[in-house]
Amino acid sequence: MTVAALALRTHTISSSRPTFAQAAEAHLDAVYRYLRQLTGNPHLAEDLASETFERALRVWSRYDPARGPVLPWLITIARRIALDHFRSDARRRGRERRVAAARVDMSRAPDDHGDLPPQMAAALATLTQAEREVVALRVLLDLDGSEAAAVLGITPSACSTQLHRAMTKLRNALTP
Amino acid sequence: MSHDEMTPARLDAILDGREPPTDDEARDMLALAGALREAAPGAGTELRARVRALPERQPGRLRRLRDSGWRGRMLIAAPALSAAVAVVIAVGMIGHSSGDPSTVAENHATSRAQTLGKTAPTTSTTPSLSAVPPSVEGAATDAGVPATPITLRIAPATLATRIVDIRGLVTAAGGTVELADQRAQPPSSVVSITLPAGRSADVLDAIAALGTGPRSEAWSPYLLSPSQTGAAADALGGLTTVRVLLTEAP
Repeated sequence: MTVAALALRTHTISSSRPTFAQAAEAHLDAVYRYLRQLTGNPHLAEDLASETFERALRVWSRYDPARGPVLPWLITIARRIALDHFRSDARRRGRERRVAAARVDMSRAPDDHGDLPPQMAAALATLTQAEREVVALRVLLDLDGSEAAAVLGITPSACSTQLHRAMTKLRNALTP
Repeated sequence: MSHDEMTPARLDAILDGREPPTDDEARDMLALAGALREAAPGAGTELRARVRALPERQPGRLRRLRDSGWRGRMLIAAPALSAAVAVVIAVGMIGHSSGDPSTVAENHATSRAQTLGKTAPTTSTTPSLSAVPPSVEGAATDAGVPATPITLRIAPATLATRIVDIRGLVTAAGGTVELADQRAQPPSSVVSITLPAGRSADVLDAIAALGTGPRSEAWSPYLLSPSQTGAAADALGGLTTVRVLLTEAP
């Protein structure tokens, strides 16, 4: 967790409200990492992160610090935007497939982990999207089990099981 | 060395720091988590700059009020309803005595054609523009406004933004904007625009492009020409006034 994020978490615990700029500064990396892990595509993650903060700014007045820290709130917005994107992308791909069955758009392949170490990229590619997501929330963003479960809309025990499965897969993939 | 089974609950506890890693598997999991964190790239400078710039483009007060829940919406709706009642009364009192629409259309076609540097499609002569208005802003209030607004349909939830856009376009061209008849359902507002005629073509084009409706070339019948505003020729060719009804699509 960065110093800015730590400061913001303390700020939130004291239940005073951070400004949008403070929240964006503290959590931009986390939101980007989450989307990067979820989409597997750095360019798409940038677009979606930008859209996330635009939407967060529009509804900033609705954020209530008493209901929880700001990061899960931002991640919930990011997740909704990413899922909307996947749905519309799937529809678009469906239309394209119907028009030209043989043409495949490789420029936006969902598992383009190009800027990660090759071994790590290969290991991550063995995970399902749900497993990548739980690793992002619990490991990269350091959300606790109940926060991650709330974002994912599952129970904390299901979240633990999914994380365990994902980490075991990664460990096996990275073990020679 | 302990050989506890790595259950989901134990993994949670180890990752959360509630339990120390006492065996190789636990240490491997912690190392793996560290490696994942290290490998995860942060946001690039371009994205960071884009997000930092967002608060500077913060939406206007009207929009913030609307987004702030039912109290904000009430604050918007109350004056809008009052304005709507006032307009209904005013329209009832004025009736249809604001002039012959065909004359208005003819004069404005001439004015518009002059602005665009084209020949007027009507047979009227060049408008006589004699006195110089003291200032654009002052003349705007002296001038009458066309009775019929042109309707521009805009995307849902964009009324406040479009008003800000129009205000920006018009004031940049030296004109003025007045709002009237704001309604909550469907969200709509009449925007009364007064512009220096010599600069009106581009601005009206830009305004027409903000929504769906007649192209600006077809706005002539709705324009109040320089001669009708009583403001005669200055270097900019007098003032043009138009009322635009912005209404959000359902």
